[in-house]
Amino acid sequence: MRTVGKVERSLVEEISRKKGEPEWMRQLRLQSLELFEKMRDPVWIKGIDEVDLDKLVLYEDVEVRADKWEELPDEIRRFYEELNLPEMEKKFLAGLSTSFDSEIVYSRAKEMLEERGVIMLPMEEAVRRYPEMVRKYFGRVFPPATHKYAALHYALWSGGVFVYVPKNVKIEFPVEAFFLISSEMFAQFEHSLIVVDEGASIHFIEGCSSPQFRKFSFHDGVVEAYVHKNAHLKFTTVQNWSRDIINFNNKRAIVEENGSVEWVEGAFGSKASFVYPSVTLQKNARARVTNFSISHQGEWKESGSKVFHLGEGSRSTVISKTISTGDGVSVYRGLLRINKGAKHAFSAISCDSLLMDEESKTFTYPHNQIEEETARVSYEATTSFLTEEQMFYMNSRGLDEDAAKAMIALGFLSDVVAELPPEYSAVFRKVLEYDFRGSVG
Amino acid sequence: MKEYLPYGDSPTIRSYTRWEVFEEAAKREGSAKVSGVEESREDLLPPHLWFDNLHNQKVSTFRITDNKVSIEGKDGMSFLHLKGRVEGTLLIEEKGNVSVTGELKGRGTVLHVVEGGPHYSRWNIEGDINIRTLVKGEDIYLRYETRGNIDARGVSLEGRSDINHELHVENGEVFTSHLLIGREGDFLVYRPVAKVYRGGKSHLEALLLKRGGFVVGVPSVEVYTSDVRAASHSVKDLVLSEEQLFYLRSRGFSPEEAERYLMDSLLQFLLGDLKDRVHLSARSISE
Repeated sequence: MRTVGKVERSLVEEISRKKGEPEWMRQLRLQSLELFEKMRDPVWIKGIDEVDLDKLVLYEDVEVRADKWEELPDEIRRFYEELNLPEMEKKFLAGLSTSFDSEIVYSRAKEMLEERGVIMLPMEEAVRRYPEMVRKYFGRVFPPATHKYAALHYALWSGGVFVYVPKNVKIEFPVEAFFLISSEMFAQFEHSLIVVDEGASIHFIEGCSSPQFRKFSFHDGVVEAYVHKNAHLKFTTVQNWSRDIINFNNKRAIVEENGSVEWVEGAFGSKASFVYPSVTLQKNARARVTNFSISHQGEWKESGSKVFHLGEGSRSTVISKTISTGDGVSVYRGLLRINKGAKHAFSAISCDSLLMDEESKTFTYPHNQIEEETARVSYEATTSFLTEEQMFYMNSRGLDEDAAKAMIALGFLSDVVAELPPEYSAVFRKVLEYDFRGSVG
Repeated sequence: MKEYLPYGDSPTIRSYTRWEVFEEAAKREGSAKVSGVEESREDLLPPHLWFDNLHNQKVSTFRITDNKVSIEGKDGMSFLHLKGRVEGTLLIEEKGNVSVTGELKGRGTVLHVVEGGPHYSRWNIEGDINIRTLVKGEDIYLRYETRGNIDARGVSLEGRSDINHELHVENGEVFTSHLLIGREGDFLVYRPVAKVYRGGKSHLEALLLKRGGFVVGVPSVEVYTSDVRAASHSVKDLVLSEEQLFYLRSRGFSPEEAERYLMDSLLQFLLGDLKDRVHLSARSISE
């Protein structure tokens, strides 16, 4: 089934029927559709008016589900092989799910995960097999009413992964979900839900990619994470969409007492990107958000974070690093909210931007809302520039302009790139070098 | 094509300003006492300056003639528009229910006191100007739009106020530092945004002294080219320096005296001459 345009009740019901969903999920989709129709378009999202939903493919059913790479059709496997995923899975992943347009086509949780009671399934399958567990969390962390495109997501969601880590189970190796948009004028609405039970821990990696298109595609995903008491979640996203994608990703985690969450978000590709991982912290919970992005010619990248301190002793650290080249625009948009009663909450935010050209731009909009008098807050932002002296120095050491720019960009990002898994870190360095060579030459 | 609003339209942001309070006050005609100005004439209020349903509102236009301007509004709301040049020091005191729009050009210092409310004040300022602002009272909306070398410092105290400052800087330098002193029941917002163009330099700073209430600091910056000298901004808790406190205590000051001394010097840095004119001190704040 390939559905183009018109978000309406019949489409939503058809998706729900096709997936064999329980009644509560069908109702959630329909209520979200109603919200989508009633809510106003957000005015702060640059370029959102270019998204003409009536012309996009809103759902495409891929009739494939495989446990081995060999079982995938050649044209789908080719995409993943080009991305080196089979090799990476062998080397260091504990589990991998890959999504092709609207559906999960490859899902394999290594035996080790199964033995320890970890559930890692395509979202649809989890809804059918564990309806009560999924219902307890689905749409509770990031509710459909948050904004118009969250409502649209809940009406049309398809694909994504469900991960449940049982109490006190610590997974040493990362698990990964990979999302691929393979055709132009496509809208992807994948939904991932990660539940880390008391005392457990896991590292989840989300990768996103797509080939070059002539027209754009739209990505409107949601990631919900629920981190129970004393549990830990690290969530790493490496987004390398092609430069035709409008990427609007909604991520939120609730962290219970003494729990901790780390969001690492790297955005390299896409035409326009809007990603603000958010965290709600209860008593003594901790959060660390690391963002980095590169905006090339004609791109608009918004990143940032939202941190809500509800419990006493909660702590958060936010680090944002952005690079703009050509007339690319990097935007940091952050919210820090410390509620009354979050005694001795602590938050440190630092936000650095690097401008490589005279035409490049950077905007910073940090909201700091403090209601608790004992809270401690610090926010600092600086903007640095590539100067002629720096270029002259690099040139005099035998580096050409592109190599010098790549080296300066790598140096600027080196401390945040260190937070990526080693394999991704190496890929990132290559992408960056290629980008700078490509952007000038 | 929809208009792109960089500062957003989320309910949180809209809640900063209780526009309905202004609308309610504006429905009743008020009377204002103004001194330090001359040439009064009545014009229609330019629609972009006020709410949709108040296009027919009359506004009195004045030219500033003295170095001290005093405006006091009573009853409902009065609408005033002021124009003037800054040479040396200009003191502007705005009190009560009044809507003031103003234009200032020149070189010097503007001492600006805004008290009481509901109060709407919007100033366009151009030149090499130091601005020292004290805001105190319920439902105050104050907006500056400035061009040139601007050094803006100030303090927000008590009540509910929202200060916006849009600074345009090209081949110049701007600096802002604003202290928000929140107590139980207060709602204080400070939102400066620096738009930095070629050859510009900017630093914006929000200082928070929390004793309850709700304080919001949003120092934003928009850098439009890499050919700028510097652009930075920060939000800090006001924590008095341990080293300075120790130094003062070792010279015989009691802990309370040392704190008061440091606080007074900070108020002097932020308000300059205005500090004594409004009788603001560390003692009066702690009381």
